[in-house]
Amino acid sequence: MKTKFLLPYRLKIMGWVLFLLGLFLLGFALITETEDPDFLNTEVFALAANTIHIGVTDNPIYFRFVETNLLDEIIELLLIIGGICIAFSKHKDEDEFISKLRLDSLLWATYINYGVLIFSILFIYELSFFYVLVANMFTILLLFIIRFNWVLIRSAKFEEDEK
Amino acid sequence: MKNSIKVERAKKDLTQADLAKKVGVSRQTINAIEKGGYNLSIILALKLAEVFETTIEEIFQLEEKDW
Repeated sequence: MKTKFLLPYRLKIMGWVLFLLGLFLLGFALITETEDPDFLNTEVFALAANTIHIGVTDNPIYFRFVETNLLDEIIELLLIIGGICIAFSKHKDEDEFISKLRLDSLLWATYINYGVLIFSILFIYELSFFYVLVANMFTILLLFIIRFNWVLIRSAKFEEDEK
Repeated sequence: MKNSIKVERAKKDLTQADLAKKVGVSRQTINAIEKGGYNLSIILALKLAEVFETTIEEIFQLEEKDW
């Protein structure tokens, strides 16, 4: 059974490049705590852009141009697009075992991801929960990639002993 | 499900890699079948039977727990 929804194999390498670049920028931004670079300040079209100001009721903003810094958006898109290309591009030797492993890994990643989210809903609140939601954008892809490749590598190692 | 893939492979003097190449799957798949617990497709089972010049029933046998 072949699925039509997988991306071409050659996108895997591109996926890794994008993902690692996003990871590097994220790590750099978090560790160095630098200000967002000025050259990324720009106007963008926002379908919705409600700001959070404590104690003040702002008029909600819809369908307007707003001023923002693009660093966050760039990092998020690199991680997500890179992650999808890594996770869902065809394997070199695509066969039924790989298809089953892909499905199992996707289920596993979804269970773990929502399990952690449920735990967070119960025990984490306010701004901390917002950080959980931000991380949640990437964790399902990350969990899938880790599990899928870990099982693949483990199976490959096992059979080196077999004639 | 019990299987005698390893025995059949030995009869034909094939490594896991050789067999995988003949039937068009990855080595991990052959390894997973031999280890047991992997539900291979009918197409793959038929291909294996043809490579080993025997029938599916000679290679694979149902166990009590499969029912």
